[in-house]
Amino acid sequence: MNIFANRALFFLFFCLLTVPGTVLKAQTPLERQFQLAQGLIAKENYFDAITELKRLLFFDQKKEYAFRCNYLIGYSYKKGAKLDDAVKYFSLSQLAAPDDSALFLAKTELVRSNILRRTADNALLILKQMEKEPRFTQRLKEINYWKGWAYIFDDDWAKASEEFLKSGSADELSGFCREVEKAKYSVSFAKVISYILPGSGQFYTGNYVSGIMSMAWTGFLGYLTYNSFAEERAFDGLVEAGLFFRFHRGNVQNAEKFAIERNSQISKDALIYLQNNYKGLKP
Amino acid sequence: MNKYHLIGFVWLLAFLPLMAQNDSLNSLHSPENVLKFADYLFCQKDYLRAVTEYENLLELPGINSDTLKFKIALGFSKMGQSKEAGERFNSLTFNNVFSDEARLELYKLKFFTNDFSSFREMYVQKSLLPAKYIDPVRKLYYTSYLLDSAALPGKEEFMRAFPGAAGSEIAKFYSRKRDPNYKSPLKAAILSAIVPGLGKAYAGEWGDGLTSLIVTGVLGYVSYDNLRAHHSFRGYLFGGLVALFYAGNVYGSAAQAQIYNARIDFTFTSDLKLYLNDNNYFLPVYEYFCK
Repeated sequence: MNIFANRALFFLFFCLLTVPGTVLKAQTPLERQFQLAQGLIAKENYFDAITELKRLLFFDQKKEYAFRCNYLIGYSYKKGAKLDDAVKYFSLSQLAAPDDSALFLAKTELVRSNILRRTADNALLILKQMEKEPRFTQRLKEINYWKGWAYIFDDDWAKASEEFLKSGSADELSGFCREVEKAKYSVSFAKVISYILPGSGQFYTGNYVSGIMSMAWTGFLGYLTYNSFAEERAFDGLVEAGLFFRFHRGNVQNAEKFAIERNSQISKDALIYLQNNYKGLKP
Repeated sequence: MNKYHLIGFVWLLAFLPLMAQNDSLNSLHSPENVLKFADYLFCQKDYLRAVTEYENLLELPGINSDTLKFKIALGFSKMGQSKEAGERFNSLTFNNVFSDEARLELYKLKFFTNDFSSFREMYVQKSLLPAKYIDPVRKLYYTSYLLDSAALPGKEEFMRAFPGAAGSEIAKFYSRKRDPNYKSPLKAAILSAIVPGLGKAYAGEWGDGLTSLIVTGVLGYVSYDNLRAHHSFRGYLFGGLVALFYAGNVYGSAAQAQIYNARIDFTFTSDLKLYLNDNNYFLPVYEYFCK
């Protein structure tokens, strides 16, 4: 019997041979493994995703998946706040990047992880190197954007503001950084006014009790010194002057410490605000 | 061949790639490959994942490998999960290929969690002494005396555990432990009470001692001179300061002696641990796991 004479049967035959070969195209085990890992990432099951990606890397002898796997392992580690591991795998993914776009992606993630783990110096170093590379000239604005974030975490809000301005897409952030910089206390100013009038640096930073105490002690010792010299007791005067200068120095150091503490608090508050309220891209 | 046979054949032809695909996916997860991958993770020091993979293998029917069980226990130990590791090593101490290694690891667990008294108790009881590793365990036993405050065994007995090149270094550590150059806080306080600053000098802080002597002396003189000249306010003010400095100096001298002693202990422990680390605590390495 000629089965092809039956048109229905021929159609069935055609479908069976072509459908699996086209629509349900056979995948390689590595492709399937990659899909499995992607599925796990989609379900936010990062621990298992890393295991499956590492398995894929282990069996991928031709290194076809080296970039994608290392990048996704880095991404998963970052999601799990394992930033040292994230940096390691993003670094590996840069080495395996197939093109400039992939390399930029890997480097950017490396920068973001460095910012988050508070190694902003490293992040800035990478960004400055990227700035010099001709292949990234089209992406300078993105580089400036991440430089802005690196400077924020480096507690240099003025430079952060400049970089955001250069990036052209973050005026809101630039303005915010400027405001933070304005809100900060000048450490030098606190020290200088405390040199001139003991306790005034503490007043400037809002530490009134400490300011009054500094003023009172240095005033008292200054008076004693003056009084001793006035009464022609030079040796007493010298000893008291020594004590006066010790207290005076302590007062200046105290003013400096308060200013630094205040600034640190302002930076922390600003970072918390950004974390909770800024809707744009964050490290 | 009738037409039903032919349809069946065509079905088979068509879906063969898909079936093969399932097989090939499974191939990455086949027991053999899982083992290879787990060993790789283990040698990469990713112990948590390695342990998970080994445990998955053990769940498969027909697999009951002592090597896997030992590696799982070792993985837990490396991750610092000593309770879990201890339970697993315990289950491997008898009638097992790795019973000697498991026993050694039990000793190591006690030692490296600084549970030296339990370690020594275990050593004295001898019931779990690993025949293959008696020498390293003995060395650990005597080393434990250098790391805590228990009374040291006699030098001759102690040194018998360290024959050869290691002996001379260990003998130095033994002497440093037995005769530490401690300073007495009480003596420092008394010295400073007699001569301000002398206790600090005794505790090794000559600069502080001299400063204390000068400051207390000058303030004392100023106080005396003011009182003599009927400047009562200044006299009492400086007298008060002298009393404050004097008391602070006596207390500070005792504290300085304690700091000096703590520094001696710290330096000794750091030097000893550095030496032991360099010599892997005289322990064997299982090279057959990660070559």
